[in-house]
Amino acid sequence: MTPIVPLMGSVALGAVAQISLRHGMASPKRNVGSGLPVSPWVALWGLCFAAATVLWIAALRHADISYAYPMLGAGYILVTILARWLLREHVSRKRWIAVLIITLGVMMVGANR
Amino acid sequence: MTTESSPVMVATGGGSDLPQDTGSARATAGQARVEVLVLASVALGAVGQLLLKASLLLLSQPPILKMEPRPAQIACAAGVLVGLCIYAVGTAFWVRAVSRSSISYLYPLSAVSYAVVALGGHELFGEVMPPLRWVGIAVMSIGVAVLAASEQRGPK
Repeated sequence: MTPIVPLMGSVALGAVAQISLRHGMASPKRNVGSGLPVSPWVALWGLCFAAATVLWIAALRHADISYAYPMLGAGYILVTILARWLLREHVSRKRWIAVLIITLGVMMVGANR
Repeated sequence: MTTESSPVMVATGGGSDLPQDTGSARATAGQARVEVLVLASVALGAVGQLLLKASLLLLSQPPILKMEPRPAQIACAAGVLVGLCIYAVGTAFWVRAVSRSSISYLYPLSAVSYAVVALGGHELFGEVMPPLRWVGIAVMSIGVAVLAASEQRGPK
């Protein structure tokens, strides 16, 4: 299996995890013990987070870190798009520019040269 | 590294399980800025990651420390466990931050962790930093600065 499949899966699930966490934190009911909201979205966050981690480790078995790492940069754009689309968050133009610069930086950090 | 975390941040959860004071997360006194929470989460996450790496290095061939195989294995297992615990505490700070601000602001902010972990690997383990990685860290820092500046509307 080419590493691109688990890699992209990991990035996508990681993004879904952050979106569901943010959505779930809006729930008014709080668990007294953990302080976490009683919400299926928080559970989805845990599941996606775990699955993304497993896929990431699987991808690293077949891919060099310098190849895998830059792909993580895509996660920042994806989270921002999903936050705007699904959570109706306001994303200013300045913030879009910042996200693009950060993505570029993450991609360079993964570079091998 | 900035691992000093004020006890105020973890103490805010107490006694707020009354149904009527939901909604306004800012109502609790003595809350830290979300940026501080993200920084605490990033710092703890980085310490956890570096401790994991250091623990696994104990099993490296040839050994980096003069240790018998058995004690090295035990030290490695203990290090991995502590590393994961520190990482979990960092995640708790992240969850608290996410409950207070928009994800399109917080998530890109957490990219600082790449810079911290890369610099830590360089300083502690002598990992080679290719020139482009230094440039990447600089570019990312600029992006984070732009992001933080985009948020300055004053405290609500």
